Amino acid sequence: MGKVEEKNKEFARWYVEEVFNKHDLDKVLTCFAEDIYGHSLPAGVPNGIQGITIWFGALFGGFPDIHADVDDIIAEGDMVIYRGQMTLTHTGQFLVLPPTNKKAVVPVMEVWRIKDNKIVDHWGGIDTFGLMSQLGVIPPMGG
Amino acid sequence: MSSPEKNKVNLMRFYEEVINQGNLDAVDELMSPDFVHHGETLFPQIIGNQPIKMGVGGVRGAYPDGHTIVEDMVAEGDTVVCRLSWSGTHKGTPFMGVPANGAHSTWHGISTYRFNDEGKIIERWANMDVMSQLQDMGLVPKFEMGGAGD
Repeated sequence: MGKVEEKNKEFARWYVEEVFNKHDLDKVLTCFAEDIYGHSLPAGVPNGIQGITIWFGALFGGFPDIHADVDDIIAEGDMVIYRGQMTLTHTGQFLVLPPTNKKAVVPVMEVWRIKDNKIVDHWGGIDTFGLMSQLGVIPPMGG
Repeated sequence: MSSPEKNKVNLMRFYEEVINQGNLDAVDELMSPDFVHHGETLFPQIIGNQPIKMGVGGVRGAYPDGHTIVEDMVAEGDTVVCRLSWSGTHKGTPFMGVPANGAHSTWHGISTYRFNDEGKIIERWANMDVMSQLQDMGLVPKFEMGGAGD
């Protein structure tokens, strides 16, 4: 594994454990480029750092205890992925959703392209269907 | 011997030959009998490679034009992560109990695959944004937060 990959993996672990899990919005914003492209942002959330501000504000506001546990980090070239579990309780307003006060545990996978120590492309996130089922917003199904 | 490059080739073969062309014999060649799928709420766990054949057959029967595009692959050690997009029209057999209604659906997903020393797929973690597909099938109410990626 090359130096770039090692550095990007360190960045990913630091971001999850020291930035995201501490719900530090100002610090989160320093991890994304001004022109960040969030390929998986929900409809209606704009792109760029403005959209990231809205998105993380909604996440931390809707799920004040949100916590990610990292199971694996994979890197090649300027790409880095983290895979894990997200645990949260929906005690605040989350975008259009009033609080349900329900707890959810959902898998998460995020794919990032890193440039100059900042995230410039972002794909993926949590299992939206699982989250909405566990919050009781949509009926449970599957098995 | 497996290697990140060889694992990428095998993963691409899995999507082209098994998923897109429906060659179920290739499942035995590309996937270990000890395969384990760690999914999400909708399809939480699959054990063994034989259920994959049934699953692929079921999706292809329901969505005869279903097609997966591997958008990107990232590999390290025994692991390959891929970004996927899928599209298909529900014009075949019923799917998850829902009769065909001609709806065209797309989803984006991320899957992480682990390979054994023989270069066969042994483990997978999948995260597919199937919310809009379930809405197209009428199984989930239309909902503002349905992820809309590209």
